[in-house]
Formats: sequence, structure tokens, C-alpha cells
Amino acid sequence: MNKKSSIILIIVLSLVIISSSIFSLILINSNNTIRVSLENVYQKSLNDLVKNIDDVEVGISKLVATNNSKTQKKILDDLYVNCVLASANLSQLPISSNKVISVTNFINTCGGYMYSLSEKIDSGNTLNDSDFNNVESLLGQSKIVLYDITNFISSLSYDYLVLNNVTLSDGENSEFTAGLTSNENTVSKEPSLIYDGPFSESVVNKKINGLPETIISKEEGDKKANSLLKYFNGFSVKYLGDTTGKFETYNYSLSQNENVLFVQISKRGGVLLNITSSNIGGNKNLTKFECEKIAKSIAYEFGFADLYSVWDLELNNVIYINLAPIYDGVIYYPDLIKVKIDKTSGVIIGWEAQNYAYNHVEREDFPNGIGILIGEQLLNNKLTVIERNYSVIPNEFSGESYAYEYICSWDEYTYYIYLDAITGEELNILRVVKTTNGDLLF
Amino acid sequence: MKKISSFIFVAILLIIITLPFSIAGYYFLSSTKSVFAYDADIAEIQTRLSNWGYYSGDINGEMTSDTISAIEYFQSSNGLTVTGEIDGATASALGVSMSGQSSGNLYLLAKCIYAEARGEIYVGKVAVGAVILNRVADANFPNTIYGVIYQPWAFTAVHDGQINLEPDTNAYEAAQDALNGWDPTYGSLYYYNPEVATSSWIFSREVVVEIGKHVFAR
Repeated sequence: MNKKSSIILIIVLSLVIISSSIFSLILINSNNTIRVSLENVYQKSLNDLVKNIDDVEVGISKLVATNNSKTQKKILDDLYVNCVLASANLSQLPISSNKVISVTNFINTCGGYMYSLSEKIDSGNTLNDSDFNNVESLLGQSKIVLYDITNFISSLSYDYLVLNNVTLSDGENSEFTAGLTSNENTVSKEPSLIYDGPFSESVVNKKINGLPETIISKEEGDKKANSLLKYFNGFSVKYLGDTTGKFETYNYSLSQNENVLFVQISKRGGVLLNITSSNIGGNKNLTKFECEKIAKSIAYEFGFADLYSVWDLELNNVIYINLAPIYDGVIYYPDLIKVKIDKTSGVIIGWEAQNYAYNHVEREDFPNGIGILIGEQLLNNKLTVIERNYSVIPNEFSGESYAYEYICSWDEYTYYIYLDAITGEELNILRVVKTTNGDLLF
Repeated sequence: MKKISSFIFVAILLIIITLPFSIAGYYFLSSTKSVFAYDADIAEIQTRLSNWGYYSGDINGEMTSDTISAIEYFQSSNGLTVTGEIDGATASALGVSMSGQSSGNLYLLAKCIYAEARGEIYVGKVAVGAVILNRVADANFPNTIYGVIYQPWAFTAVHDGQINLEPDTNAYEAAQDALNGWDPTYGSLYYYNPEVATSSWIFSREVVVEIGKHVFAR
């Protein structure tokens, strides 16, 4: 190699080294920036969590000391908000989820209970001794959680408080996880709080009222599954196993080539509970009306009479139809069955009857309430009523109410408003939201 | 000459040491930018503009300069005020709702289903979606879909970055079924593949049903 070539080579190599080094420095700097940003997020979440728990502890201690309903309501609303924020902040920390089950449960249950007490005051009731006993129990637990968290934080090093104490690749076994979850065993899940609200017993352990009590045998289950074949030409049935727990079912697949439907039939009474499948595929283009007809007639064949479409959602080549029983002009929303039809083939590829299984019972006649036209006068006068119906609707957490349903419009918006048939109180208001995934109710 | 040769040798050695870091850094920086930039609403707008001939770029969910130009083109062609932004009138003309909540939840759920269960049968995908929604409703977990999915170490595919893969239509459909109330697991909160799971804790959970390769449990 001559001198000129060597010099050129040296210059080129030098340039490569310099640019590689600069790029590496940029990388290190970016990495450091991200590390700092991440630590900032974790620090914020950790400190906000401490503040939220602190505010919960202080709030509950004030609640037990006040007799004034207005003050109690304000404190309860603040407590609910602080619990929601605490849950959000806890979930942002680098802690494995199964290590903070008790703490998360305490925060969520406490928030749910405070919400229900706030609703109780809103309804004109007052807090009783049982409520205050539960509140004092929650006060004790909040003190434990707060003490453990603040003790733990003070034991960490200051520099990169979180990142220097956690291995991001193994949150299960990090010192951070171990330290922050030391109170997992001290936070008690007892006593069970009896209330009507989120995470309450009535929600968690909801009773199944709509299924017959008699248990069918597997052979009877097989027969039921085989009886579905008349709606699916060329399909064959295969038993897959059982579901255990709250809903016990016999599970089957109905298949034809690559088309597979997953079917679940309840052991209690042999009721069809679930069909889950993707598109079957065909070359038809059925209308919504045709699909509704198919859904209703299939439901009738499956043993569900008097079901009518109350909502539908078209999405690509499928249509979801909500069927509700209508008896004597009353829509029973708690007994909803959801059906999914493939528009290109007219085949039913989805069936969901859990609500029906939970709620379908004989009910009393619709009461003589305030009157549907009188109720309409209680609505906001901005609204134009398009349709009015008698209905039974599920309450927010448990139970159900007789309600007048008003479908109204204002400006470009469509609303579904429900008034209690007896008192005229507004029970719920839903708005139709047009999205790229169809019309939804919020 | 000897000095020059030595220098060349050392230079090559330094390059061999630093170049891998530079290459890794390049990919890290470019992937970091795209991971945080995807927006489902913008992707939908790009799709519609592309279908109607206003946009010819990638459907990447990013508000790039090409996307802005396409929006301006659409606005000027349809008598709208040209701003390059998706205001109410433009969104209405495009037929999209910018309400982030429902489309965001569907997209994230589809991403998680695709990342966690893309090799599973369809009902297995719906089941994974149902577990996520069951956790939202359970006191032991965060109260939003985002909170549940991004809870650290809750899902392997989130932890290792597979959550950032683009979901297919099957995953979207499964997510839609789960959001519409389909739950073949009847309230399960956990799932695992018994052939690869190693945690003794997960094996202690009460088994509800087996679907495909996954066991679903409470």
C-alpha cells in the first residue's frame, strides 16, 4: 500500500471512528434522557400514591368525626376520587400485579364503598352505625398501608429512587416489589362490606336466577349440541370439555373445514349460553332487516320466545343484534341476548346469553306509575321525544327498576333517557355516539 | 509504515467495538419514535383519505407532513376551511368520530389479543380479551383497559414489546366480541399456557376452562 492510499485510509477510518463515537454518545444521551423521564414518571406515581393514601386516611378520620350530611357527602366524594387516583398511580409502578392484590383490593373496595355511601346520602338517607363501623375498619387499614409505604420509601436511596431499586426485566423478584408489598399480608380483605356499589358482594357474587335447577347429563348435552347441526349445514360436532365455576357448561366445537364455532351449553337446564366464532364467509349481502329476522327465528328455535331486536351494530361483514324479551309491551333489558350474524352467509356466528341466565325470571306486572306522558313533561324541554317505551332496566350495580324509556333528540345528538316509573326520578341517560366502529351508547 | 499499519489496526478495532452500538442506537431511536406516535384515529383518517385518492403514504397512525398535506387537499376539495387539522367539520366530512375512548380501547385490546394469542383459535382470542375486561371490573386490578394491559408484568407481550405489533382483522374482531360482552371464560381473571408457565402461583389458581393452548382461571 503506498503512502497516499494509507493516508486516505487513515482519514476514512478516522471519520468512521469519529461518527461512530458521536452516534454512540447520542445514543447514551438519549438513553439517559429516557431513563430520567421514566424515573420521573415512577417518582410522580409513587409520591402521588402516598399523597392519595394519606388523603384517604385523613378523609376517613374526618368522616367518622362529622355528623353533618353535607360535609359527609363532600368528604365521601373526595375519598372516592382519591381511591381512584391511588389505584391508577399504583398500577403505573413497576410492580408485578399478583404482588399487590390485597393493596389494590383495599383501594378499590374502599373507593367503591365511599361511592355507595355518597349515593346513600344523595338519596336522602343518613349514615348508620353499621356504616360507621365499616368506615372505622377502613381507617385502620388505610393507616397500615400508609405506614408501610412511607417507611419503605424512606429506606430507598435518593438517586433514581425507583430505577436503582428495580430490575426492569424481573419485577417479580426486585427489591422494590418486595419492599412495597410487605403489607400484602397485613392488609385484610375482611370484613366483607355489604353495600350496593362497584366491587360489592352483590356484584361479585351475583346469583344466577334464569337457569333451571335440574342438571343435565353429558349425553343430554351431546344431544343438545347435535340438535344445533340443523342450522349449520355440513358441520360436525366434537366435545371439548367442561367449564367449571360459576357457570358450568359442556363445551363443543361445530366445525366444517376451517370454519369452527365454539359452543357452550349450561349443565343447569341445558340452555345454550354461548356461540363464539369468526366470519364463516359467503357471497350474500344481507340487510339489517333480514339479519334481525334470522336472529329472532334462530332464538325461537333455540327455545327463546318473544325476543325482539332492541339495538344493532353493523361492522364490516357482521351485524351484532341485541334481543330483549318484550311482554305486554314492556322491554326487559336485563334479560338481553346478543346475537352475531355473518351478513355474507346469513349464518349465526355468535350467541351470548349470560344476562338472560342471570336475570330471566317471572316478574310482576308493570306498575301504575306516574304515567308515561306525565313523565315526559319532566324531561329537559330542549329535547324532542322521538319514541317512548315501557321498560325494565338494570340498576347501576344490582337489582332492576321499572322505567319509562324516552328516545330523544337535541341538535345532532340522540339520547336514551330512563325515568323511574313510580317516582319520575331520572335513573339513567345514555347518548348515541357515532364512531368508526359503529353507533355505541355511552 | 509500521506506525501507519498500527494505527490502521487500532482504528479497525475501535470500529468493531463502537459500530454495533451505533447500529443498535439507530434502530432504538427510530423504533422509539414510532412506538409512541401511533394513533388509531389518525390511522383511520389516513385509510379513508387513501381510499378516496387524497393520500398515498403509509398508514402509520402518525400525523406526518404527508398526512397534513392530504388533509389540506381534502379540505380544499370539499369547501372546508383549509387548516391541515381535523376539526369538527372535517371529521364530520370524513365520517369519523374523534372520540378517543371507544376506538382507543378497541385498538389497544386488539393489539394485546394479537400479541398474546395470535396463534390461538378464534374463541381463544376472544377469551383473552374477556380476561382483560374481567380484570377491569375486578377490585384486585386497575379500573381501565389501559391500566390493566399496561400494569407492569401483567402480560408477557406487553413486557417484551410485542404489544406494539399491528393487530390483524381477526384480532380486531375478537376484541369487538369481547367488548360486546362475549366471555367464554365466565369471569376468569388469569390464563396461562401450562406447557410454558413456570410460576407455582399461577398453577394454584382455580381452573375454569381450557381453550386451545390456554388454561383460564380465577
